[in-house]
Amino acid sequence: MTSQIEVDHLSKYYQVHEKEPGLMGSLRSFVKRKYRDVKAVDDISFHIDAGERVGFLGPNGAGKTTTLKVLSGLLYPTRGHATVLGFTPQKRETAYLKQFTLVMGQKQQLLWDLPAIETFLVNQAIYEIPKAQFEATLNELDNLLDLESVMKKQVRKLSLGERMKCELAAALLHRPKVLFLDEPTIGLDVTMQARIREFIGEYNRRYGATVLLTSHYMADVTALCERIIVIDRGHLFYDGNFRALIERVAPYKILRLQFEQPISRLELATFGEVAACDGLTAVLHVPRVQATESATRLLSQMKVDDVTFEEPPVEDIIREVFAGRVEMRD
Amino acid sequence: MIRKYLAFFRACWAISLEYRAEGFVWMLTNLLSIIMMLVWLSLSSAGPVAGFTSGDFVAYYMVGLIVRHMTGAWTSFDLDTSIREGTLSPQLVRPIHPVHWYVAANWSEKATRLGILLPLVALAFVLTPSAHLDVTPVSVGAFLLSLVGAWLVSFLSDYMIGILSFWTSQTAAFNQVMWGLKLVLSGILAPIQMFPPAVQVVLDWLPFRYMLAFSNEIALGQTQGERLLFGLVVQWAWVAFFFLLTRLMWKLGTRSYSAVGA
Amino acid sequence: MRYLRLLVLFWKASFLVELEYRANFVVRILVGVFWVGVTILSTTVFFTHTNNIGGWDFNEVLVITGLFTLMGGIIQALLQPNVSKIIEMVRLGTLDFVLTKPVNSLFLASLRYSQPFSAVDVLSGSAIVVVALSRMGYIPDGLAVLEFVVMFAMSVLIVYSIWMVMATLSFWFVKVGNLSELFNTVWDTARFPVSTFNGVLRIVLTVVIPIAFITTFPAQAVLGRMDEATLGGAMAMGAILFGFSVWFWRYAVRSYSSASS
Repeated sequence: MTSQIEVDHLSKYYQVHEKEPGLMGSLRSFVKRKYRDVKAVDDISFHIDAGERVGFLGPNGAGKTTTLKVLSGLLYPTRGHATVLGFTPQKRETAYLKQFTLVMGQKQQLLWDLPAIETFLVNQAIYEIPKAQFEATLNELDNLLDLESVMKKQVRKLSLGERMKCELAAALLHRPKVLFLDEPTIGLDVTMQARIREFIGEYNRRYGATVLLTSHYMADVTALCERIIVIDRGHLFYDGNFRALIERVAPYKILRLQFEQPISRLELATFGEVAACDGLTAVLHVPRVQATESATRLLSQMKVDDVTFEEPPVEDIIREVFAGRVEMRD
Repeated sequence: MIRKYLAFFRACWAISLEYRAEGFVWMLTNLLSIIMMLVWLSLSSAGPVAGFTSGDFVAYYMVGLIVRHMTGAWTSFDLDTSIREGTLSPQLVRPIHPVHWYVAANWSEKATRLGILLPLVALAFVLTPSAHLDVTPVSVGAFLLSLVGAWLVSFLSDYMIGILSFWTSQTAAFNQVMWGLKLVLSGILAPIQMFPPAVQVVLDWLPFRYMLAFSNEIALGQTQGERLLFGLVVQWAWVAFFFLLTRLMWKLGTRSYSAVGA
Repeated sequence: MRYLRLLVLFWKASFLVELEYRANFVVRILVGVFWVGVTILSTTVFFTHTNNIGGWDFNEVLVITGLFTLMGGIIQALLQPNVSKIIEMVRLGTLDFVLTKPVNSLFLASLRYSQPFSAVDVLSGSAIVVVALSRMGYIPDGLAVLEFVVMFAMSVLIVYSIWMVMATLSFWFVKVGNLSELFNTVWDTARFPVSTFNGVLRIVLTVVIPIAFITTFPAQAVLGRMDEATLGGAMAMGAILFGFSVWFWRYAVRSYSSASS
């Protein structure tokens, strides 16, 4: 059985022209232009199975969006190839277009001047959705996203969050099997981000749809995706299970302690690596497997006022990945 | 397909109703035809010019108002914006060719505005008893056929300029040149009969006359019989040409769009 | 003085931007030449059937045609880019950035951008005027030149005011793009001497939409056919329109600030 999304040695190069600053630079590039290849995506391979939720991580310009665009058939690969659901995306066959959706947080497909319901109706016609199915889907989406109140207002009068809800609904009316989500939560407040995230998770569970998502917000990825693909400057840095990555890069948990009376570094050293200690408070890195046991010991042996467990910050872990200190695959 | 068009119409119609005031302003842009009519009326006040009486000029420009209205195309503008701002991408991942949306938008706006234009033109004919039309079954049929042809030539040539935006940011310039050519050669500035005979022969073969003047001439009964047949053949040959050309260009254009970045 | 320096900076920046798009340069020249051809040819079409339009002979109409092209170039180079920017800013709400700058907002909004390559039309328009005058074997005397300069300055002021009023309308009408389309249509009447048109229309084109002040009257001035009444009228018209456009802009900004959140 082959995977639902297959990307093999995919590369995408762009040509850009370079210019030196200032009037002279402008004049010079006016006469003669220098071009340079930018490798937006450079020899990337990965496979994704049906129903997986995969997070695409990387800084700006890493090649995330480019990859999604190749998979949606908007870009021709320079080298290598990709298949989704057995289709070659750039052929843009109708049968393929009907089975996936692309949501771009910064671009919209909703008709700006009309209520969102009008776009829904247009999409119903475009995707040839039978009336009964259209109503059922719309109903479900309404339940999940609470669209009732917003879909009859003109899109230009909606808040960013409301607009994103409608944008997602418009993109999912035809019940796509594959979802490409490019920064779906960009610019939204924390509550709305969580809302959208929950919705995507729910959609994935309910319809078994494959989700490939890019986001700046770690929280999106940590909450949604079991698997992450980390890319930077077009290269693939890591592809694998998110938990496994955390356990490998940061095989410890963070233990924050508050004591009733001052305590010394030395006393703490037996429980784990002391990251910080200023007498009354301390931060310990405790190996994951022994975390519970260490905490119990601590509590029984010392006068502890308060104790909390924390996961190491994901940002730090990803930084480790970019620094090349982590193996490509698990 | 019909269902899709109906849905498109519904939406486009709603959009155009959102901007009623705009539609009204658009109506006023027909003023150019009226201005040209007034200039020719001032020239023909002393007597007919190249066989055109004052009544003929009124009839020519009034029919011209309708033909220009029915053949107006602004897809290149929308397409250029979509390509530049990247909003074409969402359209490309939908299982329908984007041109259908543009066609629907084009028709629905026309429908909205025709209701205002027709009574005005009718009024002009009532007020100008010397303005005559050639109303026979043949000429009416030929007029309608030529009108469809004129719309296709205008729409497709404008669409062609829009597709050029895939490769160049100069669409506005192409549009200007197109407008300049149309202004002089399609019969807006002057009926084709006002040109020297040698120029008229050339214009018989170029597409511009078939965007406007040809239909006007049929309505006025100036182009009949063999010349009418010849004109229709040339017009529809241009339709076929632009149709095939735009199809090919769209194919290459989306390909290069995909190569550079969507 | 500060404003002059800003203006130089703005135009320099625009020039740098234009240099980025070198194809524009070639295209503008070609399009410019193309339009000179179109305008002269269309004038010729009329004169194959008559020896005067509205009492102006071929060469005299050519002077008007030249001024028409010249003014069109100024509009393209200086006014149109700013007006479309204003409309866009109002639509996207980014006008706030202009209104919060410590510079006169009308100045900033109306002169920030330019398309220097469009100055091609200014050159070709001037060339047409010069050719037309020399075909007549006519050299304007000092007074005619002086009157022309005044009339021309007034016509620039009038055109500026009309465009700014149109741009200001976008505060209330979101899609005002068609308004400039409307202007372009009425603008086409400026190809002809205002005397071509009879009765009501001539009055409209002189007083309501003062197209006559833009090409016909400056042409009269350079041809030495200016009377005091028209000269005074032009100055009054320029002052009134400019005053109105400034007032209208301030009024719009005030209601914009209180309406938006």
